[in-house]
Amino acid sequence: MENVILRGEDIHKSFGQKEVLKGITIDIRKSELLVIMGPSGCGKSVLIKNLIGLMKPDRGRIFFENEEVTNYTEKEWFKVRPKLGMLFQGGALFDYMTVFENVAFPLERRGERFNAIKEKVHWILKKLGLEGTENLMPNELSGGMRRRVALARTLVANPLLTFLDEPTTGLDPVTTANIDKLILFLKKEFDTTFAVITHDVKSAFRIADRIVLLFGGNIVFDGTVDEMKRSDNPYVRQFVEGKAEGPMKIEV
Amino acid sequence: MWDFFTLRWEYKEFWRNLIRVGVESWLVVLITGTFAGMVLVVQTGHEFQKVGASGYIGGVVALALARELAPVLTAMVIAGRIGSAFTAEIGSMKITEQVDALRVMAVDPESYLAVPRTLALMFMLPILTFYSFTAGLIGGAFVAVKSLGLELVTYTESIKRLLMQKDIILSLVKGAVFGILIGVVSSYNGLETEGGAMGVGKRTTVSVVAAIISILVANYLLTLFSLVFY
Ligand SMILES: Nc1ncnc2c1ncn2[C@@H]1O[C@H](COP(=O)(O)OP(=O)(O)O)[C@@H](O)[C@H]1O
Ligand SMILES: [Mg+2]
Repeated sequence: MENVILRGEDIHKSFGQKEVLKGITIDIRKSELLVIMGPSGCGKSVLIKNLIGLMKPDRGRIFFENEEVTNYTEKEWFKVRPKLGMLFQGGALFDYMTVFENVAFPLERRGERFNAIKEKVHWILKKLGLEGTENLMPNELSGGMRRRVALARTLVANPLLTFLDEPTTGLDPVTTANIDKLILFLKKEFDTTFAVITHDVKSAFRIADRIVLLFGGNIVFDGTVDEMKRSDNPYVRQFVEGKAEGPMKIEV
Repeated sequence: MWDFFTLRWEYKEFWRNLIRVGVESWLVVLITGTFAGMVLVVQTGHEFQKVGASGYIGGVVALALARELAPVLTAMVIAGRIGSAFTAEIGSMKITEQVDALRVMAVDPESYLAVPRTLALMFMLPILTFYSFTAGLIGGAFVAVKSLGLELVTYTESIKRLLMQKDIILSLVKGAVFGILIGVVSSYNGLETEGGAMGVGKRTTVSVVAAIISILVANYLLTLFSLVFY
């Protein structure tokens, strides 16, 4: 237990009649990179929003650093949140701020000095191939650039535990590989713990210490990359090989 | 929803919105104020002249503008122009998860989004109300001189005689209260927005209607209160 940063226990979440999470138990261990996979709409984003207090689970418990946070008020969560980071699937860039202001925002909020902020922002923008975009507004960027700016805003703050909701979806394979490299660099350099949602099996195999596969509101696989590669779990085989036939029935 | 003890002073957002409120609404406030003053003189002018009360025209117009028309009309216009924009803007931040992004960065959306906007309106609305009042007096003077053939001094002397400091104070207090109302109603509706672009549209309409009704009710109460007070 002591090397678990965040634990979700028997998490249930429904929207109206629709049961999205049917009792998920998940641990995120210190310094690991956990990849969460699963078909679109299976509840990956909902799961991590429950884990960081953006949504309240209908049932279940959440522990952060061995302290139960399930019934924390928003104000209590504010004490935990500086240790957390999150890249939203849609980016969630502030559309009235420039790229620079967006990326500088989390640093500014915790009272860093302007020169230090400037240095960090330029460093991360360069790492993500975004030099020269500092003064552009989010609506002047391409979709892929916006996603990278959002990623920059999440990574620049370098929180203890970082959630990335589809950081590379829709990006070309070279950019994806570069982002994977950056994530691994940050993990090694700063001992950051990551929980990354992705559909990209190749990318997952490259970065993951552990992979969980979500389907139908449950975790259907939990193991290392090697275990996943060797697994004969039919869900795993179908997902990894990208087949339409198999136990995952998805209405199109 | 308001926890004033943990509020940070968000001066940057406050200034940004203060300036924006002024810049985006001065013209429409000027137009409504001017026409309100003009139509008041048209309506009262002939009757007053008939009974030989020309000397009251300016004063009556000034009182009507200061006590009721300038604050209420300005607030209505701002509710439509700025309140709706605040709701739409915060609402679209809500549905695109920008509000959640703030929460993750340990920024309280209420103190970061709602409070500075409300304070900006609280400060700006009295200024705009006074400005609308002045525009109304000038518009009224124009009609009084050009179409009623009144001497300008008769008009201004009448204002000086009838208009008291307390009327101006009431005007400004109303402005500040309406500013707070518009700010709270529009921000609250923005933060409660759900359900995509349609949700934003729905919330914006609800927000403007709610703001206008609360302005009218508050105006009635403030007027009653002012009578007791003086
Ligand atoms: N705020 C919400 N209200 C209602 N339904 C929601 C909400 N958020 C997500 N859902 C539903 O929950 C399901 C899982 O969504 P999500 O977690 O975003 O999927 P994904 O695994 O692709 O990230 C979807 O069917 C979605 O429609
Ligand atoms: Mg998702």
